[in-house]
Formats: sequence, C-alpha cells, structure tokens
Amino acid sequence: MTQAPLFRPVAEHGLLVEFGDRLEEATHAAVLRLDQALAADPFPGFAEAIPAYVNLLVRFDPLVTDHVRVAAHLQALLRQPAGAAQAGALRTVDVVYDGPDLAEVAALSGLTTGQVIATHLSGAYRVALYGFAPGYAYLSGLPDPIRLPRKEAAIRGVPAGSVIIAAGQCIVTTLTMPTGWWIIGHSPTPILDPNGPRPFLFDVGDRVQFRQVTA
Amino acid sequence: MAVNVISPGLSTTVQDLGRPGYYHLGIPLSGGMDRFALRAANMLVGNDEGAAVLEAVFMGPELEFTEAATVAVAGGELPPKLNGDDRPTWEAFPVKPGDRLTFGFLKSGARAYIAVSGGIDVPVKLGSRSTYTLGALGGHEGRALKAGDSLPLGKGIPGKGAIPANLRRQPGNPAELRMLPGLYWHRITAAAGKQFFADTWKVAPEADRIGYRFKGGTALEFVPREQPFGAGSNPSNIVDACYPYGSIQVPGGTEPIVLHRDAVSGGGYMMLGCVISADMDLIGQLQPHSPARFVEVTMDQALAARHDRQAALAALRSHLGR
Repeated sequence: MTQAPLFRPVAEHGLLVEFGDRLEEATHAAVLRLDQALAADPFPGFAEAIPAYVNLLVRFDPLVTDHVRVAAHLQALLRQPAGAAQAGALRTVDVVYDGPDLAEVAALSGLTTGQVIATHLSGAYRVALYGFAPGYAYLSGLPDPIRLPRKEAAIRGVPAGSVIIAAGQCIVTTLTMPTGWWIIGHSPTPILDPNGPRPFLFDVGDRVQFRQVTA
Repeated sequence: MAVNVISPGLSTTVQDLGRPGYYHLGIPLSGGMDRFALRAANMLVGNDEGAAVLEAVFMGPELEFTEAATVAVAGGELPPKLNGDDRPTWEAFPVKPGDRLTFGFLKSGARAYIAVSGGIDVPVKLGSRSTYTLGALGGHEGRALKAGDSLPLGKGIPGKGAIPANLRRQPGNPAELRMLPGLYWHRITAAAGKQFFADTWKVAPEADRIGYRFKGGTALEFVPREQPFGAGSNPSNIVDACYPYGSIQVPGGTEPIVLHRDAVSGGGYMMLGCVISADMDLIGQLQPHSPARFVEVTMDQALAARHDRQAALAALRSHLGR
C-alpha cells in the first residue's frame, strides 16, 4: 500500500509529489493516477506535469498560483475515487541481440547468453515513463534473473537504437548518448520521429513485447 | 526577406522562448539561455518579445541581409559591425539589402542575442522555433547554423531605441546564483552544506545548453544511509526522478551541474537544490573559468526575485514606450 504522498516545493515553479523512495509497482501506479487526474482537471497557472517512478513533478506559474494552492488542488484530486487503470496498447519492438555487454551480463547473472536472450524476451514490459532525453521510454518489467545494478562508469557515444538494461528496467535508446546501463543488443524499430505525425512510438502505460530478429 | 549565413560563428542557433509542455516526453524547454536579453533584443526591433532570434555563443556569425530591416544585439558584449563600422549593443540599428553584419571579440558575458525585425521565420515544431540540437528538433533543420544557410524573415514593423546600462541585467564577479536547497539537501552533512555556500566555484569547460558544470569547490560529504531499492550504489544516486530546470546535481559528490534550457528531464542523481528562475539568465552569460557562488534563499525570496525580474522587464517596455 502506498502511504500519503509528501509535497515538496523543489523550485519556485515546481512542486514534487513524492509517493515513496523505493521502486515499487503500486507507488508508480499512484504517480500515474495523479498525472491522469491532473491532466483531466488542471488548475489555473498549471504548466506541465512530469511523471517519474516514485514522484510527479508539477510545474506552474508562481505569479498566478503558489505551492499551497497547488498542493490543495492535488490533495482534492487524490481524494477522488481511482478510475479504472487503462490497459495500454501492445507495441512490438524488434531486437538483434548483438550487444557488447551480452557476455558479461550472462556471466554476472550465472546464465548462458542464450538464456539471457530468452529471459529478456520473456519479460512483460510496460512503458513506465519518459525521461532523460527525447524518446527515452523507461520500460519496467525486466525479469529478475537479469536484474543488474548500473555499471561502475558510463560509456560515452553509445549509438541510438541500443537496447540497454539496468536496475530492473530496459530502454531502447533514441540518441547517441553516454550510458552506464548494460548494452545487450540493438533495435531496428523506430521509436522517435520528431518530425512525423506521431513523434513517439509509445504512450506511458503501453505494453511492450520484444521480438528477436537477426539483422 | 532573408538573412544569409556567410559564416556561422562557434555555435549559433535559432531560439525563442522555448517549447513548454513536452518535458514528460523527454523534450526540454529549450529557448534562449538568457531570456531577459532575448526579450530585450526583440523589444528593440519592434518584435513580439518571444519572436525567434539568433543566439551566438562566444563568437559572432557573419550575416548578409537581402532586404532592409532593423537589427539589435543584446546580452553578452559581442560588438556588432555593419560593413566594418562599429554599431552599439542594446540598441536598434537599420540594415539595407546587401549589408554585412560581423562581430568583434566578445568583451563580457557568453551569449549574444541577435534580433531582426519580423523575427526569424523558421517552421514551428511542437509549438516553438527553438533549436534543440541534441534531438535534431526545431530551429533551422534542427541544428546550429552553417555557412550557406538562408533564414527566412517574418514581416514586422521595425522598432527603435536603446536600453541604457542601468536597465540591463548582467552577472556580477563572482556571479551570485541564488538557490533553494532541495529535496535531498538532508543527504549531505551540515558541514558540507555550509562549505557548499562558502566555496567560490569556477565554471568548468563542460558548460553548455544542457547544463553548466562547476568545479574547484569542496567535495560533498554524505550522511550514510542504505540505498533504497532501485537506486544506484553511489550515495549521490536516487531512484530515477524528474529534474526541474535549474536543479543542481552533484554526480559522485564532486562537481555540481545546474541543468539549463536543454535539460535532460530525469535520471538517477539526487538534486541538491534548484537555482531560482531569475538567475538562470545569468548562468547563460557565464564563460568557462569564471567564478560563481551559490547563495541560499527562501521560497519567499525566490518569488520576490521573480517579481523583481518581471518589474525589470516592465521597466524596459516602459522605457521603449511599448
């Protein structure tokens, strides 16, 4: 069960609603519920809301409203009965399992590389949030046997389209960026197309299934 | 109506007041690093304050105009020259077809805003003309300008006037960056917190539109704790969270990074606090190696500073008769 959230004034233009400090499914669900309720019923001066795993950042114009009034509005939303959770669309993402870290992931997990691939394919993933950079959809649901902490140091210049895992999460990268996550493969599926009619393949809440391809 | 780019300078991009509303998808605000100067330059040439301008970093471009227009340069002291003759900063001046605008060496600050009457009329992407180079989004083809680019101009009624020195905003020496201690302030020891404000930091060479890194201060000492599930192993790690603009991360506890207009929207580093909005413009005018201090303020002081900045903009409008 999630405890009552804490309201933290983190900037003069922002209030962070913190539902917990541990990565848990119920906590994240509470974040998304408040995000949806706020989208349906914003307050005067509302700018935008950014969901993360355990907290929701609510940005506003402090010349129109203030932290106390924003918190009161959010409290009222939290008292509303929870709507039915939406199932989310199912998206299929192709993966070529040729990542430079595949062997090390196998060694650290006590598995063969074939077992790492099978385990990764078996996961029921959900788009938990976007973060870090455009199109970086954090997928929750990485199976336990390949759950590893981040690497000690980040690697620079990891190409766009890399399939990376760490801390129970998976991301298909959309830009060439540094990462401290484990690179297990790459995906030919386009995730981000900022100039197209639909800039992002995923919506938060979508389910994702990986499919192995060879090239 | 167009501006032709003869040479691009070091990194010149099209910017306006940014692209709010997409941060939850990882797309940051972008827009001018020094929004005060961007607004001032637009006011001088008679544009809407949020019209698209050119943001030049450290070094000016060379531009050629195909039509008559009015130009103003505000922000960092990057001295304009029209066909080789000096022109003032913070003042509107006319250009004729065929005129060439070049710049002398940067005297102070870091970024100059070059406004042209009518505004730079590149296509609007996700509600803004700002360039977000990391995401190849907006601006001119999603990138910094190159020689040979031709930028369309909108139609406008040229303004005129000048902004006197007492109405401009520039960082002090050392720059004083006011901040609200944040969510994870309790994670460092009281002595480390005191030292953080006592130290004079220097802008690191890794200072750009994504974030400004500072070095030369004392490494932070953390209060010991057991890391929560889902967070990385370094005491500066947290469960991935969203980062407000202006938030200060200290990866590994050594060098603070203030996230700026092209911020990454979230990640797994704790935020020590948040630089107040009124002082984000000043960061945009800091050169590498320039000194800066962090100054603790309360929420009331932060809001008062925001009102002060609004008043400073109102003073500009009133001075220019807008």
